[in-house]
Amino acid sequence: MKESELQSAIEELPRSIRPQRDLWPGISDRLETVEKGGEVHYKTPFWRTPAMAAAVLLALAGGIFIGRGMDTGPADQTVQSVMEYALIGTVEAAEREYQAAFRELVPLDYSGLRLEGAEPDALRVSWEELQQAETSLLAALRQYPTNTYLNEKLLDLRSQQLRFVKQLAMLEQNNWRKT
Amino acid sequence: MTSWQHDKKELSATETRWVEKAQAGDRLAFEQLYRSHCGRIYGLCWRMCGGDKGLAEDMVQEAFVRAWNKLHLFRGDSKFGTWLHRLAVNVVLSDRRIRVKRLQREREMVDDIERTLVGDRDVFAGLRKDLEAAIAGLPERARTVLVLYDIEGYQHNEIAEMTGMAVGSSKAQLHRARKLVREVLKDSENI
Repeated sequence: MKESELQSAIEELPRSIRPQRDLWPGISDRLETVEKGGEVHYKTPFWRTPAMAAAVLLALAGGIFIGRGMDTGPADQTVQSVMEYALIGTVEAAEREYQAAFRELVPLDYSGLRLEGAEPDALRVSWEELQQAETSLLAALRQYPTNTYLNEKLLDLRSQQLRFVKQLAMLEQNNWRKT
Repeated sequence: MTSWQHDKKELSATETRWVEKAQAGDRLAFEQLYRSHCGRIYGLCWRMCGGDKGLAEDMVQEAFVRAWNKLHLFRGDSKFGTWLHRLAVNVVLSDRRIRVKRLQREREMVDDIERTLVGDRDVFAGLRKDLEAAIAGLPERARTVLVLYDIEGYQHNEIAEMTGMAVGSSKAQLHRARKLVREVLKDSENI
């Protein structure tokens, strides 16, 4: 084959080739993660935020038993019952989501992560702080299962834990891609 | 010259609107941009990945995610397609998996062509099948230069800038690539 024939043949090649499957859903999922702050370019290391939040949460969860009554007046009881019912339903849904994500994503190998400015130990400590907050909240909820304040805090905590676990999974994946 | 460089049509008003909306965070507009450009970007990635469909799909996804993240940097100085194409080239060039594959391919060129043919049988047809297989089987640097120069229309100085090789190396790789492709096609004619 002459050079000119090769050039002609190359020019005949289509520049555009449709992928055999739609790649948009995968892209869309990743954009979703980006928007939720799940990509790995963090200005503040993500594990510090839940650690601080967990500390605040612990103080709040402890404070409720000291400075705040568990019951409200009889006039508000009906309204409160409806709100509690709705909230508990939300908490139960969040629990299911969290447990499903937890089973899928944990345990992660902290030691395998290579993070700028982050040690695997720091990640483990942050996670343990979240777990301590969870233990305290669940203990309180066993005593006061319909308490609105505690249920709201559990929702917050589950949200933080989910974010933490998902970001760890992304970091692990990113680490895998680099190696 | 390729349609890529000769594509002198102005950005359509519709695409300009999609870009502006996407820059403002409109995901649906960005999806329209994806639909409009995914064929060109997939074609580029597929060839640069040596016909590896799965890897090419990963590269396309990565390119569009990066495009979304960097969309605020697009000022309209060039066409959106040009900007996106260049970004996709950088994504492919920076992916370590392809560098790893290069080492394997340079040792197993003939076998690799066979695998590519089997893996992507439905994509090829006639002479194009042989040509695509020959390109897919090239050593990575030679393939990269041939795809970028002969198919995508980049100049040697642009290729040198993107790949980090000297302009002279780019020309040498192109010469090598064309020679190898001709040899493979000649062999296939003789079979």
